[in-house]
Amino acid sequence: MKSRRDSRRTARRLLRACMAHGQLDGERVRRTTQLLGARKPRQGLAVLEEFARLVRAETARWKLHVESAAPLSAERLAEITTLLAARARGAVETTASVNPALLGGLRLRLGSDVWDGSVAQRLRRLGSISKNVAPISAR
Amino acid sequence: MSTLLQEIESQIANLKTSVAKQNVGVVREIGDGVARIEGLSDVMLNEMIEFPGGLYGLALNLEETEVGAIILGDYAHVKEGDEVKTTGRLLQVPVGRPLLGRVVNALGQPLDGKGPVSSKDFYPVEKIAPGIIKRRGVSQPVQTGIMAIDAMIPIGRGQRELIIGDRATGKTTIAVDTIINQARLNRAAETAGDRDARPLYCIYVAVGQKNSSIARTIGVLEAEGAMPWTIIIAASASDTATNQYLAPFAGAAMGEWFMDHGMDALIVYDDLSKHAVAYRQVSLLLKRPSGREAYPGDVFYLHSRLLERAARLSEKAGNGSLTALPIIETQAGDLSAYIPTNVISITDGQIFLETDLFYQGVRPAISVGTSVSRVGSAAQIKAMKQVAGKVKLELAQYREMAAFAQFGSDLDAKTRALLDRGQRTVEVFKQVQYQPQPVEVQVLVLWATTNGSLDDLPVEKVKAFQNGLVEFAATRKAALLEQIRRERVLTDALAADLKACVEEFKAGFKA
Repeated sequence: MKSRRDSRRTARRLLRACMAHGQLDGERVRRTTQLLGARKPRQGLAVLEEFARLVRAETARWKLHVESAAPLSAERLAEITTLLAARARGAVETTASVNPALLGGLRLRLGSDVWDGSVAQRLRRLGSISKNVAPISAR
Repeated sequence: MSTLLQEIESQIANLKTSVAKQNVGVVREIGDGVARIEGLSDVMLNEMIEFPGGLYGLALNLEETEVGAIILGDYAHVKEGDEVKTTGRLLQVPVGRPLLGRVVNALGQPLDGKGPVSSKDFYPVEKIAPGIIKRRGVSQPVQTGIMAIDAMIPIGRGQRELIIGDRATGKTTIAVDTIINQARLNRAAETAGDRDARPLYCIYVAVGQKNSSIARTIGVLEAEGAMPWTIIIAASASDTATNQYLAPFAGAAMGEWFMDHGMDALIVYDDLSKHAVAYRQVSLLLKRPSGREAYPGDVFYLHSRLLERAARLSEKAGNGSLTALPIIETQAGDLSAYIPTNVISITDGQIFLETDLFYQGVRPAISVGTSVSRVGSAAQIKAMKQVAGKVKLELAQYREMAAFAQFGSDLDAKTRALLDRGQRTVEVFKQVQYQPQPVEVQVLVLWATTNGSLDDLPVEKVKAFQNGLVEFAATRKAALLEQIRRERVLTDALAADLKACVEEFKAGFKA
């Protein structure tokens, strides 16, 4: 139990050392991984595994995924990326996909936050509202 | 019609602000009703989270990069990679009068096939207990109808009295007897149209018990007509550990509704040993560090925060109360085990049931020496205080002396008298299950015992005498019993009437 706690603490320290201006520095991460591999410190594998998990969680925070019902133009995608990057105060890594089930509009996911402006979402909300509104006879 | 239009218009306005913001996560690991989720950066502790298919979970572990959640329901179709959403809501259960007479699960969903619970109010399952300012001292009695308890270990409204003992020593019976007695008192007050009477609503929480045991308890309560004032929350042994962990908290929330609305409620947690085991299971699955006997470090906090919710509120706070009767099962009478010592230290007293006494035929098998109520005689009516003041001490002395008397035959007169009186008192306190006694009858019998009316009777005839006396008083001296019940104090005149009543019966009994 103690060794697991130690390796977690070490991995957290390494992650902090790899940060630059509030974001992960890819070069530092690469160098840290290489050094860990080469020097083989005590509990090295556990530290590396924990470090990978932390890096994955940290990079996920800056990943922007744009879903749309129809393909988006490059300019539109760039516009969305700039908008969200300004909101997140950092550089974001954007991916896009087409999801016809959205029917229209966009669904953006940045880290664990989702902004859903799709037609499908509006219809779902309308459906749940109509379920909750009591019939006139019951009033 | 205009309000209807306004409602539709406001909904349209809501829909026009078309973007819905949500906080989501992804299931990374799932098993045994516990999920580990990545993401959910805005989740709150104890917040309900939504899994695909309308399934809900409860966020219990907030870690740096992961959230540990327990799933409330069938988790078989939840899989790795599923998206999970926060809801911004805490776990709530329905509360209020519509639950009376119902059997529900830990989430307040009906199990009795009597249709949905038509409750409009909801209370959070986890709630902070009332503070010092809102509370007041315990002074009103909870009449259990069990003479040994009402006389020696009185329980007050708002008190937490632990019922502890080995398996099959009659722990549940004491709780069920108490519920039945409340139903009788409530019904009597309703029939008499007594507006000053404060009915005591009962909540029975079954945790980790066999379904057959729960069914038997429900059957007894139904047969005795106690269900109209009772709510049953069932989280049986076949339920998930999650439901067993949540059931007592759901029960406390239902009880708090009565307390907050100026009413009195009684809650039985049957039992907290199994509750602790269920919590240990959940904690181990959540990979929380384990401590003594593999229980997590916060198992004391688990029970203390639950039992602190029992209280008697001040006049300003509504004058309601919630009395708790937690039950703990010991192993081979070991009171010093981890969970028993925890709960003993939290509660305001304990009723300890002994296996030896049970098999000697002393039922309820209450051990007088180790049982105590820290509220004391404040929770007794004055008449009971007058007749039962010394009984506990005398009985404890008798038990001690009886052990010595086994070794020697030469006893002085005082010791002999103590032993004789003790034997008769033990006989008097023996009581058949599910037959609680009204307080006036208890006063009559205890008056006869403490004033030596039974001393010249053979021990084996004491029970017959007691039953005969009760029947005689109920049929021939009903006015006297009614006077004791109404006045609640033994005046000289009343004591003289009691004496006359006992002597009259005794004359007939001897003849």
